[in-house]
Amino acid sequence: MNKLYVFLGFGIVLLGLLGFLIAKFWLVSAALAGGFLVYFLVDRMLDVLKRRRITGWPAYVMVTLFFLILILAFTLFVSIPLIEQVRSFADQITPIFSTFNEQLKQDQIPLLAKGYAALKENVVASQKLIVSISGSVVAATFAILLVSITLLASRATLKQTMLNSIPNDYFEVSVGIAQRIREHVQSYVWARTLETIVMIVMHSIGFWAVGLPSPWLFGIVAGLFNIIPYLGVVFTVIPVGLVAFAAGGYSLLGWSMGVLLIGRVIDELLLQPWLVSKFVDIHPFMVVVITLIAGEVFGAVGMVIAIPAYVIAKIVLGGLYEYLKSVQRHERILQEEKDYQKYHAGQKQHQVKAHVL
Amino acid sequence: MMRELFEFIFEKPDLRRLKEDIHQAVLFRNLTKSELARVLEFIQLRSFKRGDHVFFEGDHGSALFIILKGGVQIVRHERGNHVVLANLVKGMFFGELALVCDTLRTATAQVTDDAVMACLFKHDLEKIIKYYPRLSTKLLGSINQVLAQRLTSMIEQVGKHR
Repeated sequence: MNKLYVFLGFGIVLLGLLGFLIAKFWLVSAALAGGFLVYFLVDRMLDVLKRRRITGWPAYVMVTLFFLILILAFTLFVSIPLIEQVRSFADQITPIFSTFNEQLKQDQIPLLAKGYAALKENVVASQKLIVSISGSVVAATFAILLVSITLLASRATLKQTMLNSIPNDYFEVSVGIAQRIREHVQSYVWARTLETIVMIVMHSIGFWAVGLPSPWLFGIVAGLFNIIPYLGVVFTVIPVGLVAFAAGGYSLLGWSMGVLLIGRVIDELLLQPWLVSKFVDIHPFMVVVITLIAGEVFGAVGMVIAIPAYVIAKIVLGGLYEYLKSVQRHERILQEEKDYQKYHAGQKQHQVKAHVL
Repeated sequence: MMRELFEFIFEKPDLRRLKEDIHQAVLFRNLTKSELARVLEFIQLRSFKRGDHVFFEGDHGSALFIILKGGVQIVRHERGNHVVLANLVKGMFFGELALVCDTLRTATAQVTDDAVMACLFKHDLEKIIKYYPRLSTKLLGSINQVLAQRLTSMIEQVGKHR
C-alpha cells in the first residue's frame, strides 16, 4: 500500500485521539492553547523590538513592563467596571425581563412571550455558570502564564533540541515547512487578536455612546463572537437586541443595531481585508458545521475558538502533507541511487558529464 | 570593542576557528567583524556524515549552505543516469538560488566527506534585510557577484561544448 496513505491514516487517527484528549481535559488544553497564544504574541513583540535594535534583557524588560501596564489598565478600566456591569446586569435581569414581558404583552405577541419564558430560565441558570467560570478563569490565567513563561524561557534551547532531532536528509525541508507553518500561525493569531481588540473597543465605545446598559460586557460579547464568521453576528444581535429593547424600547434597539451594523461594515471593509482575508478560505457550510459541532462539544468557548483552531489545524496539516510528499520523493531518489550503484557495480568510476564549478 | 575582547578571551578555540572559517567564505569576506557577529546570530551550524543528503532534487529550497569542512557533490538524476554537476569543497557555498527566488531544487546535494556546514535560511536572510539593511546590501551584493560569476562560467562551458 502507498506509504503516504498509511501516514495520512495514522495522522487522522492521531488527530481523532488529540480531539478526544482536548475534549476530556479541556481546561489543560485551553491553558496550553492560551500559553502558545501569549508566546506567539510576545515572540512577535520581541521581533518588532529587535528591528529597533533592542535585544536581550532590555527587550524582555520592555515586554514585561508592557504586559504589566496592560494588566493594570485592564484591571482598572475594564475588569472592575466589567465585574460591576456583570453584577448589575445579573441583578437587573428579572426587572429587565418583566419590562420586556410587559412590552410584549402590550404589543400582543404571544409566541415571543413563550420564547421569553424559556430564555429567562436559561439566563438565570447561566448566572450560576458565570460564578463557576470566574474560578476557572483565575486558574486558567495562572496556567497560561506558566506555559507561556516556560516556552519563552526555553525559546533557544527548545529550538536547538528540535533542530538536533531532525535527520540530516530532511533538515532543510523540515525547517522550511516548520517556518512556513510558524509564520502563518503567528500572523493569523496576531491578526485575529488585533481584529478582536479593535472590535471590542469600537463596540464598547459605540454602546456606551448610545446608552446601552453594560457597554463593556456587550462590547466584549460583540468582539469575541465576531471571530465566528456568519453566525457570530446572530449570537451578538440576540442578547444586545433583547437588552436594548428592554432598557430603552425601539429607540435604543435601533441605535444599538446601528452600532453593530457600523462595526460590521468597518470589520468587513477595513479590518478583514487588511488583516485576515488571506487566511480565511472556508466554505460557509463548513463554518456552520464546525461552529455547531464545537458549540455542542465545548459550549460557547468552543464556538468562538472553533474557526481559528480549524484554520491553524489546516495550516499545520497542509505543512505535514507537504513533508510527507517530500519523504516520498526522497525515497524514490534514494531508490534510484541504489539502482544506479547496483547497475554500475564493478565499474571504477562513472562518467562525469560536466563540471560547472 | 569590549564585546570582541571578551569573546577573544573567553571563547572556545574551536568556535573561534569556526567563526574564522565562516569569515573566510566568499559570501562573508566583505563583512566587518561586528557585521559578521550579527550574521552569525542567524546562522545555524550543522554536521553531516559522508553519504548524507543536504537536499534532494524537487525539494522546496529554503536555505543556502556554506561548507566549513568536508566536501559536497551536486548530482542530477536524468533518466536513470547519475550526472555530477559539481564537486564542492571548504569555503564554497551552494543552494543560493533558494534565497533569491522561490524555486524547487534542480539537483541533489550529497556529502562526500564528513562535513560541517553553516546554513542561512531564507526567513533569516529576510530578517537580516529587515533589521540590518546596510549589512544585507553587502551580503546580497556578494551573492549577486557569485551568481554572476557562475552564470559567466556556465555560458563559457556551453560555448565550449557547441
